[in-house]
Amino acid sequence: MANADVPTLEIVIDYTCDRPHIDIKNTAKLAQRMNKNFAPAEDDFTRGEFDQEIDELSEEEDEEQAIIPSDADKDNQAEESGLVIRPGITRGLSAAFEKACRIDEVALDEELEMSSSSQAAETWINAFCSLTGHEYFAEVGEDFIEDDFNLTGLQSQVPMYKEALEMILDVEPEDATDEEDDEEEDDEDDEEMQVMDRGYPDAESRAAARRHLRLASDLSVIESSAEMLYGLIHQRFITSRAGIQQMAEKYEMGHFGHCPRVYCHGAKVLPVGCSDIPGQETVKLFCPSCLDVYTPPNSRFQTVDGAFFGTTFGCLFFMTFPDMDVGGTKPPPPIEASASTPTSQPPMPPQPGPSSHPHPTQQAYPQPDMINGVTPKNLAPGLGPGNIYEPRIYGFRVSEVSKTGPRMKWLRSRPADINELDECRMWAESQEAALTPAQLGDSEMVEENEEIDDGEVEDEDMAVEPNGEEVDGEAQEGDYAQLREVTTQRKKTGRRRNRSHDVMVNGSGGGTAVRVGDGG
Amino acid sequence: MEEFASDTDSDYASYWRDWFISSKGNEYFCEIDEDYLTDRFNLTGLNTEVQYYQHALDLVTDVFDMEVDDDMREQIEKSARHLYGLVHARYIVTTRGLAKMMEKYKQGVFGKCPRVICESQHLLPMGQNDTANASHVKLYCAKCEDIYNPKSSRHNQIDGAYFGTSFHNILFQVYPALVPVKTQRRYEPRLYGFRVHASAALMRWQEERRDEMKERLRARGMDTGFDAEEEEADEEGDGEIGDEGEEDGLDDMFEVGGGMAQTQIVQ
Repeated sequence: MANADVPTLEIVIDYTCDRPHIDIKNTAKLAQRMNKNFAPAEDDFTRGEFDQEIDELSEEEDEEQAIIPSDADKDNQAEESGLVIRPGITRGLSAAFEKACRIDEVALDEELEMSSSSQAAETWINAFCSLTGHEYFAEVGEDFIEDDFNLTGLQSQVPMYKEALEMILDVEPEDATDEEDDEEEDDEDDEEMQVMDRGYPDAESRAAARRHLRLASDLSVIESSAEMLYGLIHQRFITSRAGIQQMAEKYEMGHFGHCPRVYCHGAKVLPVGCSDIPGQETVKLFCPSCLDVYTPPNSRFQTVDGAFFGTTFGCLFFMTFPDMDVGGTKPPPPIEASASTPTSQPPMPPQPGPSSHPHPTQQAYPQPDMINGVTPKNLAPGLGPGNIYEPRIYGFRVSEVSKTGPRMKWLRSRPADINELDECRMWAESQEAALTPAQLGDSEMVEENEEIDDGEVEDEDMAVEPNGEEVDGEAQEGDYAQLREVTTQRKKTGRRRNRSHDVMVNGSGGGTAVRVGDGG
Repeated sequence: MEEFASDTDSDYASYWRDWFISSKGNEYFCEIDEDYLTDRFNLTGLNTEVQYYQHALDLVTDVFDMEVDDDMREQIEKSARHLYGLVHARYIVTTRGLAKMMEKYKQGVFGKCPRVICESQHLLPMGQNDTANASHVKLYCAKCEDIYNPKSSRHNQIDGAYFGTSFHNILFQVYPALVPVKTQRRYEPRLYGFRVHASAALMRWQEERRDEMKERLRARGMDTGFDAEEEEADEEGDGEIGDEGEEDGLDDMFEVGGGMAQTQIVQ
């Protein structure tokens, strides 16, 4: 990475022409050639510093295998000039420079003679997505951005919206109103010259000198706006058909990494945001196997805004691809299979047989093909018996009753019999049961329960189950007394179920649980 | 681990343990006291586990002065590291070992929990097996009570038996004040602000389990260990399961819309 023999370079980005092209100048040679002092502009960037920083950083971030081109100098300058730039942007620029810098010295000479526009063949979007730390981004199609409908409302969220959009689309600004340099008379001519005469050092340097002014002030603002705008468009794009497909490919290839949780067995994760408003949270990783979110292991993602992925994407993704296998695939005996069937696993103490289950009728049912709209094997396969960590001391499980005993098992639990999650059916069953006993018509009690019942009705409403409609219809008949009855009934069944669960979790294992060191 | 052979050629004789502790990738280990190492009782049974046991022990205790060829030295070094790891597992459950590890834990040497809701809770190293070569070291988070893979590949290579299955639990038994307050907050997958039925149903089921556990604990007059504020919100909400409070910081934008999508079970 670090080529010590690369000469000091000055780099200027030009976004005023049709393609953002990067001019690289060998200062010494240029000075010779032009007899002109090429004063380094504020934003100029030297290769030497760059290498040094990379070396330092790669030392630091070694364990994360990250090489982050960070240019603290640029940051500082930006701060001095009163601009607020998020690190990602400057990082973005510097990586672009870095790319441009991969030219050996011989080629550099040629580059000075020839037009340098050939380096700028890739679009802004390409460049943005290939930056370090931007690996999670999909490349938004230009046609998606060009459709104004997709950009509804973004104008008010992004400063310098128009310029930012032009930058993203690599469009040259149509009106050169913000040309700050009025000293030259042939302003318009010069604009054309700039494109045509790029090969000649003289014209080049003149144009470059003019660009410096622009660079120092606007460019960093526009760049940050463009990044924000791209992020917000990205948030919408990845929920579109084309976008989600692109993300699916990235997901399949494991671009987003794996769940750090041991019992997820390396399930693939998906980048999500915890907020849809930019500037609140950084990007997180959603694991479909344990339905939890994790911080990306590499610190370079700490600069990526979570809003650029959005809260909806994670869910929508797995609903769009219901057949995708979300469970991990690492060694231990087939986790998916055993998680969806109530069998006991080696690391877990033996469980009471199905006969002790409170709902013998349910046991008669085979495990359903679909539960609440997903296949049981894709519903949190990393949770449930066998996938919960069990604290042990010298082989004895730590009792729940101990002061330091386990308290969080619920978070990683999952019913062994997946039918327990079929709330619609259970509700319907309990309603049937409720129809038989005498109805109690206590109107006051009814009102108390009204709100809760509504909630429940809504709940059923959202269910994807085919019988949801029917249940819902019944509920809306508004026989509150009846509903109330059902409620109590359901509560009872719930409790009953629960008690048996206790037995399952705690009572098994032949009483090996001990209460250790309770006194402190 | 190749670099170590050249390192030790020059200064193996002095302070092998210092070198071992400070070498890259061994940050999880604490230094074993000399007198613990020299007490044969503490090493019971290890002579069958470790090749070249006597040489390895000499090396670890800095009394190794035999002239051997490079291959042999390599072997002995390997054994010494293995021996150190196995003794380490025994040492860290002693009073002094626990205190040393607790210091490291407080400094966050073992890393932070990757789970977002745990808010960078410090981790503790642990093994899933007490026998060597069975599994690599994992990291235990006392807040979510789950185990995670170390993010660094160097640490992923360490044998889990060098820490053992009991150490982290014993540490919290001995220092119960270190047990972090548990949180009931959790991530809720949402689609345009609405909870998704499949995961929401599972979470309601899980929360039923949690509330049962809390009832059991209360029945025994035990502290549930959860955040008191959250619990209060829970009580006041009467079956609300503290939903609104749970989303602090996360899903901020849905707090208003959340009312619409509210799907509560009846408690």
